[in-house]
Amino acid sequence: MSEITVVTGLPRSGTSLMMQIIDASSIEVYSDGKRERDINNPQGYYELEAVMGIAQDNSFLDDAVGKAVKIVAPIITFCKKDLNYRVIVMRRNIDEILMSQEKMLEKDQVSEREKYRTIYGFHLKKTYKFLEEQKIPFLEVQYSSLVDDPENEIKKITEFLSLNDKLEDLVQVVKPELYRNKSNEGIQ
Amino acid sequence: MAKKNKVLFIGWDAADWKIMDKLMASGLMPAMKKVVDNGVRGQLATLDPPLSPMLWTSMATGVRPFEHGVLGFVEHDGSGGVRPVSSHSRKVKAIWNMLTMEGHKSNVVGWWPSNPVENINGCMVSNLFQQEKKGKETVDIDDWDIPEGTIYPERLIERLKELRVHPNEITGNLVMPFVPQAVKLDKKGDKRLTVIQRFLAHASSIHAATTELMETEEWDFTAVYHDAIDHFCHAFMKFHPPQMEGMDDEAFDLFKDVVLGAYVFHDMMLERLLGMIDDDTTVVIASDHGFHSDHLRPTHVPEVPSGPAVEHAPFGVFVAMGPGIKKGEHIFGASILDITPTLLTLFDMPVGRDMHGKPLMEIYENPKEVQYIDSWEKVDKFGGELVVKSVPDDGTNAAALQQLVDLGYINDMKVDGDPEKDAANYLKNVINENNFYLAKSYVNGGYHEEALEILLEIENRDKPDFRILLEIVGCAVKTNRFALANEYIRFIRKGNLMEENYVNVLEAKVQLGLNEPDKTMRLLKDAIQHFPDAIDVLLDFGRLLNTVCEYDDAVKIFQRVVDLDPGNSYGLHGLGVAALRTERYEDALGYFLDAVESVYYYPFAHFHLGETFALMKNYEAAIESFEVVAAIAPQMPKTYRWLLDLYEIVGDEEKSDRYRKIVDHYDLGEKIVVTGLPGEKLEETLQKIKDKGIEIGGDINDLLGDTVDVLNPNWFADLGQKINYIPLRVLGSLPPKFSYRIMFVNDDSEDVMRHLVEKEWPGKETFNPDLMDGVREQERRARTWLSQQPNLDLFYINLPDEVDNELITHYLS
Repeated sequence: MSEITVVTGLPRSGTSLMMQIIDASSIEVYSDGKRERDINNPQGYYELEAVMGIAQDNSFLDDAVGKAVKIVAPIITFCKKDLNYRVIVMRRNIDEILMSQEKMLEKDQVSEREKYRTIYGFHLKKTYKFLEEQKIPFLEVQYSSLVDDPENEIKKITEFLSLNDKLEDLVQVVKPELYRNKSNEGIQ
Repeated sequence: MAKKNKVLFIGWDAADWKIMDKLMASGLMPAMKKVVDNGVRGQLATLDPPLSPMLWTSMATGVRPFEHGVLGFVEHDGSGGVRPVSSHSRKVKAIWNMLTMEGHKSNVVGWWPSNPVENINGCMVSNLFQQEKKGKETVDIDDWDIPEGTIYPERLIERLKELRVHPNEITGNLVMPFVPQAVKLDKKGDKRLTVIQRFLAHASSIHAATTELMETEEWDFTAVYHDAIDHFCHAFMKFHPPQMEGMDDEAFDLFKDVVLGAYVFHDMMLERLLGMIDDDTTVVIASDHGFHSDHLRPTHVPEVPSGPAVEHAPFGVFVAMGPGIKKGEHIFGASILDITPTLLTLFDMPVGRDMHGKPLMEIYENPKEVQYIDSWEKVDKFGGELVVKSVPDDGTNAAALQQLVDLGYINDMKVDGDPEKDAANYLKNVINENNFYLAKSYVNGGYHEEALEILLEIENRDKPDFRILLEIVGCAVKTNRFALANEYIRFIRKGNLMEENYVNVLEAKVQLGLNEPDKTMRLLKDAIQHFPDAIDVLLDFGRLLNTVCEYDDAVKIFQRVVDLDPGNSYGLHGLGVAALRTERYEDALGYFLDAVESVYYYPFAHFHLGETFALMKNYEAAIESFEVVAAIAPQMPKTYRWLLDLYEIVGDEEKSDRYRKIVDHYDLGEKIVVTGLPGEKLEETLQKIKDKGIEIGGDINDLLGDTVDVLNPNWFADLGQKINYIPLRVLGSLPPKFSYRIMFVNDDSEDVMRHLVEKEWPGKETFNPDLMDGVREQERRARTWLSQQPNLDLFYINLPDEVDNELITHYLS
């Protein structure tokens, strides 16, 4: 396998959950484990410190060939252009993302919702533009669909990634109780 | 023997016609007068933000700052510090690189920024050449070195070094012409005399290097840049007559002649340069922006980075004289982006299609064919490289930074505590500030989406910066993100971050976008009471009044703009629109012609000029105007529709075929909509159209729109015709997927009300105030909505018989 499998999406859109699913598959996850699990991501973040500095140095990607790595939007646009990728783009209702981020940051950002909604819109636009311009194959996965109907969504993912893993091994990774902060719940 | 096609380019930062015209008239700028009388002159539109390093780089490259990469006055030095903006930041080729590629020899002296210099075909002397300070210390004349990267080729270093003029060499006698009563001042204690000494020394050094290179080196192109007029103006314009309110009498008397002295001094340098060239040399003189010298001088300078730029006026100067150049004529619509494309044509070299400027072909006596290439960036020839990759800072950078601090362009770096932390914060601020200028450059180029993305990234709620907040609201409105704009307006109001009336002006823009004319009107009226002389607010108000057809009030407002700022093209345009809509075509023509004379690059003024000519049946002139719009604003598809119609009317098949292809390309599925005030005139107009055998979709008897269900997603498509009657009430619900040609039937609202009462409620009172208000509200909303649509082609019908006129018959076909 000559590609790097990249999981991207906005922060708090289910990228870590997707990494867990991939971790349970035959694809090796490229992670340094430096960011430890916490209450916001009990199964861990699957993040790589080198990704934080991708704008200055993206050479670490040479070691990620054949593996999976999480690179959130929009910094995926700093990926080396001479490598091959396949990308899973995690999507989640923007209001849920904003609430989840506020909860994680313990910060009331209601008065800045439009600002962040707009910024994230730009980030996604930039990400899709990059994928299209670089002709990188990608699969969009809705977080809500993944949690509500994991069998169906994971089937699409295994097809996209050409995985031979047992579907049930991957499906059991998805724990619906992690699906917190639904936009129609808990909002006064 | 002189070579052909030599060009001498002289850049005078901030030179302004208002002062030069007075001085030429009184015989104090004879050299400039000679160039003007024997060449063409014009105003040179600046760019926003009007910051010199960005502008001069645009001048030398033909592209906007977001493309060339030079942003602001300082830049990251790549190792955690900052330095004055340098050639390192420029990402595209400059004119001297293009000339090098084609084998032409250049002398480039003092260009800002040009340090480190490049090994071009010719000689370069950078903008640090004249710098006599290291850090805050003035270097003694005997220890005055040339920093690395200042001069190319190196063989010139010793020769040019000796030609520099040190401020200490500028004696009292040399300062006296600027401050005749200098003797009254404490020469050691008064920094203002020292400042004059420095400015004169710097200008003299640059001038000396220029004359030396012109005299001793072979050249095809010599370009010299002087910053002194700008510096003199920032320091002394407040003393320039007429005496500003609050100005101390004694200070006024002492320094009132300094600015004039600076211009006269530059004229003397110009005279010398003119004496060194032959008749085969073309001379071009330009400035990057003007400088307010009259009642438009700001009373205070905002305490923000680059705050002094508020003193800059939006137009600089342009003069060209030489073989093949027209004599004694004016040119219009020139921008600093046009300088490089124009210089290229002087050398018969191709213009890059990726340049944002255009060659000013109207300067030539005989038409010249312009050659184009896709991009000079793609030309695989050597054009020169930086002679050093990084310049070790020997204190010269710090000195140049200090000069920018002294001029008020950048903040001083306050070190209060941990110097490392301060330096990191300063760098962060510099990067943010440059990103702000990048965003402004995008806004100026009409790229609001790109600008908004940057502005939102740099905006910090904990450290609100009103400049950024203003731009965000502006961009949010331009990109129809009204919820975002409102969120910021709430934030501004909550934090009392701006004077309330100013926030009202901002909110008015949002309400206008939300199609709320009455709220907009209230906010603007309040604002005008508080800012009766604020031109921007008056213009917004006038435009709204024109939109809602309150033409008499609009005229008063626009007239006030023109009284405050004679020649204000937006004010003239507003007066023109009011005249056009009230069928005073001769008046409209005069206003639009004055507007485009003032600012040629004004597509809407040309568009309305074309519309006026068309209504006056002067189709050839109308075509000419719309052709101008097509050339300067090709993104306005409705222009092509006009051109198609007009060429068909005059029977030019070739041209009409050409524009039909363009219209077809843009056409998303064009629909003609007939709408208007729901009165007798509308009914008669619709009937006349039907009588012509034209099928009209929609119920022409439904004046109030009772039968239209806009909640049905296919309500418009279901009408099924190319020409449809749409009641005024539902006009704003037209689906965006089509492009529209709107025929709007005007009527008097009282007549409309009477007609409605007679038709719908026979026997009732003929005056119904509620119905009257309802009709007016519908009309204002519809007109406001129409004014916000980018791709509507709007035509007004004042009398049903107009359906028979040539233009409308064509329109309906």
